[in-house]
Amino acid sequence: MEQFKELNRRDFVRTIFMGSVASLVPWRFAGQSKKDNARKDEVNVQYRTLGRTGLKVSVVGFGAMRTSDPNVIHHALNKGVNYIDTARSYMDGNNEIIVGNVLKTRRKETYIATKLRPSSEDEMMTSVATSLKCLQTDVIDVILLHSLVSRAGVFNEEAMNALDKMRKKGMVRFVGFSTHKNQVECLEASIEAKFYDVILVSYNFKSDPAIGEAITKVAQAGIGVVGMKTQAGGYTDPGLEGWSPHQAALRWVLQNPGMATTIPSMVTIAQVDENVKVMGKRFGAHDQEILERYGELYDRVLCRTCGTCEKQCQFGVPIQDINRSLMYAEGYRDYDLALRTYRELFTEAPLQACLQCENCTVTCKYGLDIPARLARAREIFGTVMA
Amino acid sequence: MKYRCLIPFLLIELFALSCTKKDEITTRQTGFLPVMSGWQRSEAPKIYTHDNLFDYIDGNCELYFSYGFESLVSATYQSENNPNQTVTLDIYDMGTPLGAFGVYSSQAHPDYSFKPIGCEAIVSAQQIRFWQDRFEVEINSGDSIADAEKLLSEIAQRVSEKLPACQPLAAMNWLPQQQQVPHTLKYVAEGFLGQDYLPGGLEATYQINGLEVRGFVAKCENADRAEFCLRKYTDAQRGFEGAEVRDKGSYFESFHEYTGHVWAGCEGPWFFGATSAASAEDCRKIAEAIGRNLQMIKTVE
Repeated sequence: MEQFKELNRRDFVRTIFMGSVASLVPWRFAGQSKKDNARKDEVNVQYRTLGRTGLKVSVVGFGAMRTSDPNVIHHALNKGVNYIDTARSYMDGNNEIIVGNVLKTRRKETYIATKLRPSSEDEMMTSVATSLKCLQTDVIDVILLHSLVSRAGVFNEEAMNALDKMRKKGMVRFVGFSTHKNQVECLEASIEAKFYDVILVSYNFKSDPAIGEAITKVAQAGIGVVGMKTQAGGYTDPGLEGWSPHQAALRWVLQNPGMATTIPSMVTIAQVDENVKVMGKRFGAHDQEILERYGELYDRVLCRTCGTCEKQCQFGVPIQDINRSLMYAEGYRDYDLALRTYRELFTEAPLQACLQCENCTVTCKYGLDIPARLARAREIFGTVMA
Repeated sequence: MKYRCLIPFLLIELFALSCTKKDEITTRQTGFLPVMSGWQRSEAPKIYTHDNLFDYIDGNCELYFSYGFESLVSATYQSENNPNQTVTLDIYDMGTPLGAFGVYSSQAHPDYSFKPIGCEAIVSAQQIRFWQDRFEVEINSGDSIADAEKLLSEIAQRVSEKLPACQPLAAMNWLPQQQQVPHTLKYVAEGFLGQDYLPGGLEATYQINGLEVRGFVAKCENADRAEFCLRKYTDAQRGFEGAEVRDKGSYFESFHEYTGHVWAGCEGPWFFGATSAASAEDCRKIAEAIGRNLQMIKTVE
């Protein structure tokens, strides 16, 4: 039974891979993989100044949020990365301990940024003291208020007083905040506040152009800007081996001169190797082409879960959940989760309703080709469930 | 053709399935929410899935996704006597018990306080976190509740009674318990040892002669794959400039100023080993103890 299951899974992965390759053949770029391998160890580290802090940071930093092995961070530092981002809340404090295991021997080569939740002054002081202990350092280079969502949050007096106190006590060097929502409002408020040194902002090639403009203004005001979520959710396709949308997406972000550094999340040495190659190469026509293709892929397959398609299907096929299963398989490459999700919908050969329906008229308001996606689901999941 | 008459029934079944999917999550997980005298839910429980978990816990959702997150039901309770006193109860369905243990253990530290609630619980002044079956449960209170720890423990106990019983995880026995520092066992689902070719694995800290050694193990598809992982991991150690790597065929030992001492080998489908900052000897001892443990499991299985 176990062997049967393994065979099925292999077939399943193969089906996804072959299908993707077949559909994306024109997008592949012959020889690129070989060229990249040949240059594997050549990293031309680029540095930019992090606003008024004056810190010279590598344009590719290290997002440690999910990193469980300190050697991945060591490897990144060996490649010239010098900015590490963590938070008190990541892994409920364990992430700072993992980063601290690296900092204890390599503090001088590294700038460290961590975050804390805005709360009472006492709680914030306790939080930063704990961070210092876990990170095994005397001073944190950048402390960020975690996830501000409004102008009121930016002007939170108690939080600002606490940050100021940390700075005066020598616990931190520079202060700032991170923001995921209402980013333009928060960025513009930061200029007015004349208090923050650094802002961590969500920014990628799918972002609203207004965010890019706000980043430029903030940087011109002397605030250091750090980019996160730079790869637009990391949606990739297993058939895209040989070129990396991640690299193109990072280079796109770094086109904005206001962006001092970025913090892609890295959990493996291979991811470090992929991301550091971004440095030393400007965003070019090739990257643009990749992103356009990536954008098409992204737009073509990403279900926004509005649910309007399901209302159109006369057979009540759970299209939204089928799209989610496909996303797990094609995007997250989590084949087990994809199968589990799909099996919750269908226990036998899938989508019999569609086979009986000769003319699917379901449309997606975001432009997904629903009949094609359902056919893809039949192709992928049918292999293992027939 | 002879089964054509069954098609309408299949379609009805399909329709019923699609209609009830979200309702099922709601019914199943909200069924775990306890009723507590003196407390009432301030609003209907919220259901989060892969598509909107970010709205609730921001970037931390990536950690949950890596462990197989399926859904979350979140409920806020308000004290009937004092509406400013609230308790938030989050029940994460992680898909598998290993996923639930994984996300729990990734946020555990041996210095924390532990209680025997569910399979295990971490307790602090304003939070309880525990795992049980495929669920990871987090209960938080505001700071205005006196003796919140007691209240949270009671709520946790009630939720635990409603969840499927805690079953032992076979994988938790892969690493021997002798000399293992309590509460250091962790399951890492993604990027185990920083390597993209390894499956998820377990690691734990051992104390030997006053020094710490980290033991690790991952179960591959088969013995050939474990051998492949060993070769790749050997190469990864060589990738650290100046590393001393002694390849002994069935295992290797290495040292580098950053990675410390490493011993890694294979036992059947298992890739295992140990790392130590200070002692090659202790590293080898722990690795060999893990190897013997796996041999025994293989024999019994």
